[in-house]
Amino acid sequence: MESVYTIGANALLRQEKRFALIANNLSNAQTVGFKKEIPSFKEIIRQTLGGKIEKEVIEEYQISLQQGELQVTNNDLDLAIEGEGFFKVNTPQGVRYTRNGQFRLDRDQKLVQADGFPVMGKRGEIYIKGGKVRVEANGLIKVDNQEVDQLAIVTFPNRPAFQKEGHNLFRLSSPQEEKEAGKAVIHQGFVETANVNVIEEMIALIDAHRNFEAYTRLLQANDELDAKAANDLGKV
Amino acid sequence: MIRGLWTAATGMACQQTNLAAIANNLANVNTNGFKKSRVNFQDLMYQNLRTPGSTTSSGGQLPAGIQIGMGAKVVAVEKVFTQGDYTQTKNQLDMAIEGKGFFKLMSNGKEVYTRSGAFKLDKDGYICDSNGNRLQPEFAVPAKTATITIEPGGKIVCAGSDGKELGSVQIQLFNFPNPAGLQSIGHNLFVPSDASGEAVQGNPGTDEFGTILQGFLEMSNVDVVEEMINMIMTQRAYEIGSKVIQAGDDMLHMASNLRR
Repeated sequence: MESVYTIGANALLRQEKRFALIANNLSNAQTVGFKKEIPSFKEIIRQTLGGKIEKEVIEEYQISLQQGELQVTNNDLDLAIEGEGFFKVNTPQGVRYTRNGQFRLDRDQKLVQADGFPVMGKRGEIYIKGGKVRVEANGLIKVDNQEVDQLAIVTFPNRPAFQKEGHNLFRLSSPQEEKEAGKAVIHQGFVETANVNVIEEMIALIDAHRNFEAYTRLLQANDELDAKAANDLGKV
Repeated sequence: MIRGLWTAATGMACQQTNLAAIANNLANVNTNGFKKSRVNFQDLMYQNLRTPGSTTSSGGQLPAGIQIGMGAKVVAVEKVFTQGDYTQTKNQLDMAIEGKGFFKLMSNGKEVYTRSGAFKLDKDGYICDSNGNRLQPEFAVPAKTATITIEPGGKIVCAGSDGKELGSVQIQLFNFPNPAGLQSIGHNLFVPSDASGEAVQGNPGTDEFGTILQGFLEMSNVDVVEEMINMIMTQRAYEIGSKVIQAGDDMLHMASNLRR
């Protein structure tokens, strides 16, 4: 059996990580297109070669792809996806995916995201030259009623193993074939807010805080027991 | 010492910038031709404790890994060039641009651009803005002018009291590939930057350029209700950040008290 100290210390470290995760979710509560992470702990019972039964706690953080609220901005180059799918962004490090549709034009009138990386259409980079831009629900881009390109909105057959990179970008951690997101609806003049629920996160914060406290008490109580054993047992 | 503390601090720093932008928007709610700013946020880099797809000690594969984010940052404070409302002034030198475009002015030999069309005459009769920067192309209104008519196409016609034309000039408008990349220098003025691209010149009403409306001014595009809601959200987000820091501090305190 694991010692109480190991159990307590592991639990403290878990709560500390969870606290960091909550802090990150809350810090990004106003970041457009941000997707929160949800911690989960699983216990796996397994048998070792020697026939001993062991318990393993596996923790993982899953990116919640739950839809964020759509907020109106009336800005023609603000796009929000409703439903499954991601915008495709071409970075020098390769293709990345994002739900943040706060786009703008660079000096060559190319559609780019906040860091200046081009947003991909079906025919490659998108140039918007002219006056009025209209983006239809299926991602078709029209400039002065002339069709220019269609936004590449992609999804994946299996749940994607995403890694976050910062800059609101996701990277696939294992290569997967992308496919067209048929059900995604594009809303022009809207942004998708973070899917962070502040109430949920504050409750999780209290929970992590109190759990941390409980495990420190456990460690202290065990320490007191050990102190008794070491100092008082031998006394007559 | 404890990861979440700095993470929460980055969120608070973002909210501070946000509040500064909101304060500036609200302060300029009555500034003619003012364009509001908007702060864009991004998440910071992530610390990979375990990459998704790695194997567990029991030989299984993890569908998700553990990544811990480092908070948020401000990536840009961009100008939003939506149209502001119009206000009628009946002042014959007031011009509003209906649509895209900027007026070009000369300020100490430097080309600057503005959306504010509250023009006046300087002592030599030239059309200029409130700071004395002359509208380009420079034009002096003839001394005996009684009425000034500005056509939607940008032609300024000066006529005497007998209705005879004394002089006229064609105003040009300028636009940029990426107006959000213009640099604000105060006094309602913008200067081009590397990000904005080169100015494109045109007559009002042609191509993508807007038309000129005489006797009107374009007000700021700041929506007070929207800014107030943003302010409330910013204040609360700041408060939440400070609560997270308090909780982190408390956890640190408990950890340090483990050994009594």
